[in-house]
Amino acid sequence: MITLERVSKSYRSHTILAPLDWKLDQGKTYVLIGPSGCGKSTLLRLMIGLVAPSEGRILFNGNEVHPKEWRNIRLRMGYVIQDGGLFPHLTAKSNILLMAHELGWNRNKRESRLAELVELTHFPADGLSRYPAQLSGGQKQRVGIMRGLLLDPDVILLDEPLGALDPIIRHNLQTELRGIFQTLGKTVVLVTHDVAEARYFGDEILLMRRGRIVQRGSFDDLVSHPAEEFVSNFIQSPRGLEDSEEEIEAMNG
Amino acid sequence: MMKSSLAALLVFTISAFAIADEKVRPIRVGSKAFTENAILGEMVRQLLIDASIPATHKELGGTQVVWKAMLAGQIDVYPEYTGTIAKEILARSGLHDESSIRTELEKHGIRMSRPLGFSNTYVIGMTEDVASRLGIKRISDLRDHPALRMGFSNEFCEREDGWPSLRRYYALPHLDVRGLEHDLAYRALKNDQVQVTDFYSTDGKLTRYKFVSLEDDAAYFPRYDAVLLYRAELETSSPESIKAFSRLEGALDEETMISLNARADLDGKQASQVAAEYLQKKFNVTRSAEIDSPMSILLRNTLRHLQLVTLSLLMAILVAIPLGILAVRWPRVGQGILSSVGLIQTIPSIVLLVLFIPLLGVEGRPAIAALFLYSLLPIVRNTHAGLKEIPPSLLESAEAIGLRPWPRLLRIELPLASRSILAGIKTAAVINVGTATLGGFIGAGGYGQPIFQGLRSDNWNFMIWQGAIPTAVMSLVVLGFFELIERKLVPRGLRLPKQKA
Repeated sequence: MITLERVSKSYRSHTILAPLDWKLDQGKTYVLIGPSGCGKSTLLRLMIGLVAPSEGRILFNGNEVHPKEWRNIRLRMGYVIQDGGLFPHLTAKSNILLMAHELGWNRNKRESRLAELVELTHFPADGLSRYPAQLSGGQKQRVGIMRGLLLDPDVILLDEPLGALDPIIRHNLQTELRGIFQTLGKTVVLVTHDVAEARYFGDEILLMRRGRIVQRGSFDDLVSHPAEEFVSNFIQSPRGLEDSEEEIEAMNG
Repeated sequence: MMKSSLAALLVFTISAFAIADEKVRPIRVGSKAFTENAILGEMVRQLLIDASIPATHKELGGTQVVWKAMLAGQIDVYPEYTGTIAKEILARSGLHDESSIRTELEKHGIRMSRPLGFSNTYVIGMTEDVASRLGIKRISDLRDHPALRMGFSNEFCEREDGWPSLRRYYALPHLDVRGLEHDLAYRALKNDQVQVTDFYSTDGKLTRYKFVSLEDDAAYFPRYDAVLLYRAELETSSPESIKAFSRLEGALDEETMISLNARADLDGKQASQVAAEYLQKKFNVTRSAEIDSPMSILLRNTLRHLQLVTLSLLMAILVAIPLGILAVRWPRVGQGILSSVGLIQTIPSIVLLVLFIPLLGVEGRPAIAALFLYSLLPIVRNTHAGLKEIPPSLLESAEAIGLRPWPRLLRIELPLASRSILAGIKTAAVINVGTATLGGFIGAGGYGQPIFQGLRSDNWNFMIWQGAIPTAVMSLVVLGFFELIERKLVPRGLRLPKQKA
């Protein structure tokens, strides 16, 4: 699985991510949470090679990943972002099967994998020929998830996957998504700004602030043994990360 | 950075176009773009064809353009005037006798025929009305009328033997002097917008409209005997061609030339037809008289215009889209690329055309090269902008799902930028259709040819129906064509209205 050793990121003299060690276990769901600008998205993007670390090593199944190997590692990772990150010029089906074409799968293999994914995510079959502009927010998100799962990855990385949805659809999709994670038994890393969502999904929560991991542990750990005052303030703030750090401090201070 | 990429771009353009074609080629006759010279050029071409020598004739721009084309070996022979050679081309005093001119020309590898028979000097002219009302008969009389408006041809304004030195010679006080296109000057004279202009002494308009020429009482203007200039190498490579066009030596007196000019300028005949009629009468030459119908002229010019526009556009697409992509990949190089293609756009098109003549010759190539360069900016800029507009999250997604750089470019980035790129190509195409008409100035053909010809012979119907309207129609057709292409090429998903979630 993924291991980060003394990984840090800085831009000029500005530290975005302080050196951190993190070893991910197979099959667990991790949630990265913290105020905006805390470095959680950067951390996620480091883990799939979109951002190169300034210092430290990233290991995949025990081997250090060199810059040229990222492409092959990415084939074993699923990446889903807010709104699905769908390509507007491709239909839902083409979006999902983009890499299948790239890797030269034959038609049978493509269609059967597509059928599995549609069933898994309860996506309406007639939506496959639609373009992203013709899909609802929830449908776009399902397409994004199907695209991320296409190659049956070892790890799934999700950056605010439900961030753009209205509350009811969001709730339904949360339930479904957790079902999918449990069914597949994958390692999942999910970035969110929503404390309730973090609690709902996270086997382990990493609370970040200013490029640093403040505390990691189960949600109950964070509630019962907060490492510092910021942890309890953050967890109690009603809207979680929708508020900036200053607002949280002002509100609680 | 900008300088070097601009230089690289120019070198590329020139080398791409300077493809040597050294096959046996016809004798290339040039002429300046005014009626008399064009008729003489036609006569030379038709005499060569009559002698079974393949020959082409192109009307180019003014003296400097034709002379440079001659020196560069782009044309083999063209009609010139001794006064122009002495004062304008060789620009050295004391070259008044024929033998010193010949010696000087020989140094450039150019030879001169014997005089064709008439002299076409400059004269200063006015309308009969104004001249008699003010009592002006001689050039020196102009001194007493400093308020007269002068309008001279652009060439006359700038020539060694033109207005500045005429003014000094006669001590003329006039300050209100403007430069005009020669063929528009007499129109301005007729309308009293100017009251004094320069004419050629063989101009058909002098006798037909009531214009008078003022006496050159201080003998300022030299003789301008019409001659043919040709490249010395013809003596060995094609002596029979010299023999063919030398038939014109002494064959044209002043009266004849005035009437031939009037046939073209005032009766609206094509130069080729006027030349053919005369050659038939004088030498019984018949093989060369081909007169085009308006439809065949239109068709020929349409095909040629399309050729100029599409060739230049295709090459621009092949170069500009990669440049636009490079500009996005390497922003620092990109700045240089964008500024360079922008800078090219600021060069006036006539200047660019003339600049290319020594390098690429006359006719089509310099025109295509200039149009190519003008097409770069809209396409490069729109490719750059279209790629820049793609949301970074989509670029990251494409990378994160494991697409390699090339598939990313071809399957994601270019399709997403396709609308912007196509808009750039459309802009370039429409601009090209208009700009290509300037090709008429350097003999590139197309709709510019009837426009320049109509302007010269005051044949506005010809100019409008054969030049202006077809150009406008072609622009509209090109626009429509690109609307269709857009529907085919821009992915459907990008043309859909956004649906609320």
